[in-house]
Amino acid sequence: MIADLEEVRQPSPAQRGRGGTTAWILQVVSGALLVILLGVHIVTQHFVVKGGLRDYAHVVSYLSNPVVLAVESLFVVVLIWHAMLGLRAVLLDFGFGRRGQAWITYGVTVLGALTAAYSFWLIATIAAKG
Amino acid sequence: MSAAAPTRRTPRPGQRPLRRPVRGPLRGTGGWARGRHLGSVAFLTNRVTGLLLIGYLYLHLGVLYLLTEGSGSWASVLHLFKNHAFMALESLLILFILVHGLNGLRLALVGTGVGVRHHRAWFTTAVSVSAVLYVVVVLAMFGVI
Repeated sequence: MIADLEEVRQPSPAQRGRGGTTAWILQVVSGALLVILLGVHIVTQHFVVKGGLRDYAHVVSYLSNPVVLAVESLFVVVLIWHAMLGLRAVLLDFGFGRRGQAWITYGVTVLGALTAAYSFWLIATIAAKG
Repeated sequence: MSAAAPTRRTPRPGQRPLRRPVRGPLRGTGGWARGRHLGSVAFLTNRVTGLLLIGYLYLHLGVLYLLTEGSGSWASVLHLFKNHAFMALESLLILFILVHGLNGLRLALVGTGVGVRHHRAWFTTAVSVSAVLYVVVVLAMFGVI
């Protein structure tokens, strides 16, 4: 039985300790939200569209809808949040020291902010063409 | 002088010797694939699919830039997207999303203490459900259903 429980590799106490329990909880919450938001994104962008792909006019008119704009923006935030927390957890597992860990947290925060800024610009630019 | 206290890395009697730990900044990676238990496989699967999905995220954001350049650029890339070889590659993305999502759900449950003793069955279920959904999605993508 003990051997069985030892097989559970994640999240191990060491990983939780290194990445932080709060980060782990946020990862779980954002992951649960992504199941819904990614599901909505894939179904609305591909599965309800004839041929599976939206042409230019379809994409622009779709993103011009304020509700869609809000949902897609939320999707971008949650997705980038989840991705950056995951990337941080992977990098922290390399076993860097405290200073290295601080740099990793700073690095993924900057990368996430830049990615979010670009994504919002992209969404706004496409929506503005409608 | 008393014997040194056993550490986490000390092999127990009868246990095979542990591999020499990786030193330097990459020492953490040694832990990723340590052991051949299903728990280790599940852990590695989530890491690898997660990193692949991050790579795809940036590729996707790069491709969507074409939408800002007008209908001509988007029409040319749509032509590529409809290529069957490209669709087959894209279907792998669906597989990675399914495996990462369902295995992630398992991690969340096990991590919060739900069904810890059945974590291997959770993983087998996650992979099986992913495989079934993947087949359904592929059939839908290629217009079979």
